[in-house]
Amino acid sequence: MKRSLRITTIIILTLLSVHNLKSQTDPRAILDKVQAQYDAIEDYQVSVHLNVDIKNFRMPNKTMRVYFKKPDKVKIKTSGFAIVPRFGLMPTPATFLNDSVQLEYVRSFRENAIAYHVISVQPKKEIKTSPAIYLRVNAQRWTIDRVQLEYQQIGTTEMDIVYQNMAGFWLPETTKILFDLKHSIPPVERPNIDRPFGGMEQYAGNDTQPVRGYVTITFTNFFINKGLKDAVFEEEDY
Amino acid sequence: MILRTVNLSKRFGQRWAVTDLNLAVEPGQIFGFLGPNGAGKSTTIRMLLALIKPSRGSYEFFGQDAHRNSARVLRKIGALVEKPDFYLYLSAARNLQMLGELSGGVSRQRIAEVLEIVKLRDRIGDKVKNYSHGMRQRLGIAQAILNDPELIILDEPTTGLDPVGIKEIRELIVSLARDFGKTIFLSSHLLHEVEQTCTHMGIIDNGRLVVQGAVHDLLKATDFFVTEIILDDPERARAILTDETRIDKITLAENVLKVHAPDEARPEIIARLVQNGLKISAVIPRTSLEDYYLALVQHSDGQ
Amino acid sequence: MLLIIKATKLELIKIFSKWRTYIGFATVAVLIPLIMWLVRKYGFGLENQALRSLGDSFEFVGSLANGLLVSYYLMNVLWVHFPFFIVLVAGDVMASEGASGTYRLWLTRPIGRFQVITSKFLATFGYTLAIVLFMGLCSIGLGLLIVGGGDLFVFDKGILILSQGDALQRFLLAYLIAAWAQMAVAALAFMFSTWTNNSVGPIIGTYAVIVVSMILAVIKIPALEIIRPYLFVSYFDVFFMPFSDPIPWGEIGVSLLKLTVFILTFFGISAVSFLKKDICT
Repeated sequence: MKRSLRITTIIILTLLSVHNLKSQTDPRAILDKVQAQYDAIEDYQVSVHLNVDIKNFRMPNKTMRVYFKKPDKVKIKTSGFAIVPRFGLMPTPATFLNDSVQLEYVRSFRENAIAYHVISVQPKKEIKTSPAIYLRVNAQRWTIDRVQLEYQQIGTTEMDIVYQNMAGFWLPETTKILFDLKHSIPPVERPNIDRPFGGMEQYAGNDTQPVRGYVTITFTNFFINKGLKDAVFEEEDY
Repeated sequence: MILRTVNLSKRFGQRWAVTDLNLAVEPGQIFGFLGPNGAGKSTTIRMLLALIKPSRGSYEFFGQDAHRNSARVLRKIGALVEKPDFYLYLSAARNLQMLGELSGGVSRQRIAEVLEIVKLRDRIGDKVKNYSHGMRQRLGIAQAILNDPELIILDEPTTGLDPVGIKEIRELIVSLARDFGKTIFLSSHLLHEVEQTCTHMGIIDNGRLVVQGAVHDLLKATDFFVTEIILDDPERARAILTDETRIDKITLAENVLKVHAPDEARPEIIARLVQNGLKISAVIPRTSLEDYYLALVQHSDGQ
Repeated sequence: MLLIIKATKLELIKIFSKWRTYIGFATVAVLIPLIMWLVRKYGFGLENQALRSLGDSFEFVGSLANGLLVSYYLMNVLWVHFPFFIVLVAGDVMASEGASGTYRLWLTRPIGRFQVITSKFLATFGYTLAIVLFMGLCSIGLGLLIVGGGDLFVFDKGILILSQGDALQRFLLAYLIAAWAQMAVAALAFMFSTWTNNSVGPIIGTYAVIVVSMILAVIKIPALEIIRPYLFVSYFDVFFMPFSDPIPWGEIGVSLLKLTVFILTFFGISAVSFLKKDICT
C-alpha cells in the first residue's frame, strides 16, 4: 500500500510538473506574472542618473526625476536636455505589449542556478522600422533581466537590468545598455576656416562606421505609492 | 627770444615753398607775418607747430629746440591755424574741455572765462555745427588762449569775418599783448590789419623773407609817409602844392587832403599852406604800408 | 602714460558722440530679439537632423532648441557680416580728423603724434570690445529670456552637449576671444584710415580684403595653401574653439598670438605713416 501510494504520488507530481512546465511556455502567462509584480504600484518617483558613452556623442552626466502614475502617466523632469533609451527606464510587460504585437516563446535555460525564459515580441505586420524584441525573464523573481532590440536598419541594443528589492518590489537599481549601431554619428568638426558655417551636409549620403556605445542608468531615491498628484504631470518642463 | 628760426625751409616735390627763413620774435611783440597768398605763411606756421616737417633748418621757442622738446614748448603756445575746425557734433564747452585736457587740464571756470573774452559765453552749450563762421573764428581764438600760453600763433585770424568781427579780433589781439603780456605771432595778407595791430612785422614773398623789423622803424626808413591835413579849402590847398617837388602824390577825400611826402618836408608844406591863408584844423601823419609792401614784393619778384 | 589714458578717454568720447557708432549697436538690438522671437515661435530644427541617427534608439527629453543654441549659431555672423560694424567706425577714426581738419587742433597741443595715434588705436579697441560684448550680451541674454535656457548642442568631433553653466562660461571666453579677432579687422581699417582723409576708402577697402581673404582661405586649391597662413581670417575660427571639449588652450594661444602679430603690424605701419605725415589739411 505504502509503495503504491508513493508511486502514485510521484506520477501525479510528474504530471503536475509537466503541466506546469507546459504552462510556463505560455509567453502571455509569463509576462502576466511579471506584470503582476508591478500591478500593485500605483505610482512612483525615482531619480535617474544617466551616463552616456557613445563615440562622437558626448553629453554631461544627467540626473532626471521620473514620475509615473497608473495607468500610463509618465513625466520626466530634467534641466536642459537628455536622451533616454527607449524602453530603458522601467521595462515592464506593459511597455511592450499592445494589440499590434505577437508573442512567441523562444526557449528556456539556466544560468547561475537561475531559470530564464526568453520571449520574443514581434510586430504582427512586418514594419522595417520596428525592432524585434527579445525579453529574458527571470523565472525566480519574475523580472525582465534583459531586453534585446534588433533593428534591421540601425543595429542592436541590449539592456541588462540589475534589480534591488524595495518595499517588496523588485525595482531597477542599474541598467546597462549596450548599443551596436550600424552607423555612428559622423565626426562633424566645429566651425573652422575650412568650413566656416559647419554643418553635417558633408556627411550626407556617406556611410559612417559602425559603433558600439554604452549608456548606464542608475536609479536612486525611489518613492512608491506616495500618492502623486496629477498636477505633477501637468507642470511645465524646466 | 621767444621764437627764432634758422634757415627754415620746406620743399614739396620740386618746389621750395619756404627757403632759408630766419625769423626773430621777442617777448611782448605783436609780430605780423605778411605776404601774398601762396607766399609760404601757412607753411611756415605749420612747420613751427610741427604739423609739417621742415626739409632743412631749425627753429626754437623760448630758447629751446622745438623738435626735441615739442611737448614742453607746445605747453606754452596757443595756436590757431587757418580755419578753425572743431568737432561739430560736440558743444563749444566740450571741445574746449577736451583740448584743455591735452594741455594739462582746464577748469570749467577758465572755459567760461575765455568764452566770455571772445563773447561766446551765452552759446557755451551749443553744438559747434550751429555756429556761424565768425563764431567759430572766435572760438578758435578761445582755444588758442585757453591754457594761458605765453606765445599765441594766429594764422589769418580774421579770415571771413565782417568788419565788426575784424575790429573785435583786432582789439582782442592788442588787448592780449597789452593787458595780458602775451606775445602774438600773426600771419595775414591784410595790410590794414597788420598796420593797425602789429608792433613788428616780417614780409615773406615766394617763400623768402624780404624784410623784418619794427613796423614804425621800417616805414620810417622809407619814403612812404602820408600826412592828412584837415583844412577849410582842400581844393585850393591842392592847387597851391602842385609844384612842390618833394610831394609824391596828393589825394583828396572829402575835407581831407592826403599828402604823400617825406617826413622832413612836412613843416614846410604846412607853413606854405598857412602863408597862403588856408585855415588848418588838423595835421595827421600816417604811413602807407600798402605802398611799402607792394614796392618790396615787386622788387622781390623782380629779383 | 597718463596723457595717453586721458587722450584715449577723449577719443572714446569722440567715437561715441558720432551717430555712425550706434549703427552696429542698433542693428544688433533690433535683429537679435527678432531672431529669438522667430525661433521661439517657429522652432529651430537643426538639432533634429543631427540626432536623427539616435532617434530610433533613444527618446529625447527637453529640447536643444534654446536660446544658447541660437546664440551659438549667431556667432557665425562674426566671420564676415559683423566686421562691417567694426570697419564702419575704425575706418573713420583717423580719416575723419583729416577730412574735418581737426588734426590741426589736436596736434598743436602738447601731445606727441605717437601718443595721439596710440590713444586713437586704444579707443578703437574699446569700441570693438564694446560692440562685440554687446552682441554677446544681447544674443545670450535675450536668448535665455525669449527662447529659454538649457544645454548647448555643438559640433565638435561629432556631437557635444554642454550643460548651461558650462556653456555660459565658454560663451564669455568665446566673445572675449572674438573681440580680439575683430580687433585685427579694426586694425586693418585703422591703418587704411591713416592713409586718407576720406573714410569711405578704408571702409570699402577693408571689407573687400576680408571678403577676398575669406574666399582665398576657403577655396580648396592646393596652390593657395601657401598664402593661407598670411591671411588673418585664417585664424578667425579661434572664437569657436572654446566650444570644444577639452578646450584647446594651446591652439587658442597660438591663434591669438598670430592675430596679435597682425594687429601690431597694422598698428606699426599706421604709426610710422602718421609720424611721417605732413598735416596739410
